[in-house]
Amino acid sequence: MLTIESFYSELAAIMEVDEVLPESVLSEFIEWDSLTVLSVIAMVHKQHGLRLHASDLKGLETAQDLCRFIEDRRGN
Amino acid sequence: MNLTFHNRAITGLLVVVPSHERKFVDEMANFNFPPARSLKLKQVMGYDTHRLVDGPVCASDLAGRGLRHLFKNRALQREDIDALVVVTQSPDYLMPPTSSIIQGCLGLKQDMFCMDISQGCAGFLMGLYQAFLLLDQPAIRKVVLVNVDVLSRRVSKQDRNSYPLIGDAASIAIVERSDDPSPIHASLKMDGSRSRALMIPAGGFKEPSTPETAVLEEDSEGNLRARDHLRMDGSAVFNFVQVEVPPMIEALLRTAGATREEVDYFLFHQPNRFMLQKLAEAMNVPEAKMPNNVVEHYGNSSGVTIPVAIAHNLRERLMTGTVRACLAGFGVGLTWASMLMKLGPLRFCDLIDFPETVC
Repeated sequence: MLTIESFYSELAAIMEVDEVLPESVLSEFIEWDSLTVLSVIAMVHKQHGLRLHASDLKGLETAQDLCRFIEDRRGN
Repeated sequence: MNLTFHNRAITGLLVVVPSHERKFVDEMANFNFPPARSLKLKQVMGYDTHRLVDGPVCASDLAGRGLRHLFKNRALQREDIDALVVVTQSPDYLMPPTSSIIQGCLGLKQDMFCMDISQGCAGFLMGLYQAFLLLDQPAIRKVVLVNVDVLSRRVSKQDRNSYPLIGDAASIAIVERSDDPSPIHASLKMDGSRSRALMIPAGGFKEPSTPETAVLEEDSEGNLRARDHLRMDGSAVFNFVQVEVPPMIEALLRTAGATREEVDYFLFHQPNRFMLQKLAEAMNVPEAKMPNNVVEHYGNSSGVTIPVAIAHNLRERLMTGTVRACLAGFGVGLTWASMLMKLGPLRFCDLIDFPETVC
């Protein structure tokens, strides 16, 4: 079950910031690089049972886009 | 596929690593990334020290150093070697085989079996399978299994995906028949449709090396590498390992009728600490049972990392006792392989340096 709040707090933990908002632009985080992408892939698999490839994340602009992408993939 | 072997054992293990220690922190300036992010990478992946060859050191040099050490210390006699299996992705030449080069350099007998296997991170398992099969022949009593790679010579210094983790090393495992009839269970799967996830595009017959293939190109993240260099689709490889390896181990243990608790050590290929921690987590195996410290001390030397993990972590135990070990290798091919076997007591289990000058 993808709970929206926990998803944003997990993202914040990975990026080592206090808060990630739905409208936050992913590429504007200093931490947004290949290592972070890998951590997000690992987190999404562990929490949501879904396998992402780094290229899936390329076209996503905001944290909300990422959240919606995962929901769509899971067929929610 | 499932494989089963009987009456086979590793009786000695030697690892050779280049003496020159390189530090990740000294190499960070080569990468197109902010130092703070590279330090974060260091912390997560376990990058610290890696051992790389200096200059034109070849696979046969590292392997020759190890074999001469064994001859000198009377741990192995030249005339006892009935088969030499060399597993490498970095052969001295496209032809002849590196095993033939080593046989010639060391003056081994003609009455023997030399062969090369082109395999990478699953290479220790693939080499053991081949060694076990060769021992079906009564004329073959002792197989010397060499795993060796000097891939740092084909990794771009400006590729933060691959350079921080690469390591060079050789291992020599002596494989013989044993009196222990208890089955050794093993498994192997291969998927060539994903073979391009890990490759060196240029330098073979398909795409010969030219001045153009040596030109550095920048990828979307800022890494610079040429077509002559090793390249890895990091997230595809990460997913491959996390998806394929845990069910393979589960099936292996089920076939063997063993539980996770009955396995003393999970000695897996060592790509980086992060990947091994995620595997341990997914398999519900305590980290103490799955060493992940090879990359931080030596780097990832492809098919040699399992022998390095054994020599670095288990030397004392294996010189006197026996452990039940689950081995697994995964990578180039793509290939994934695993085996449940008893290790030890070994007649020798050492890790030696390769001097900086070619011997």
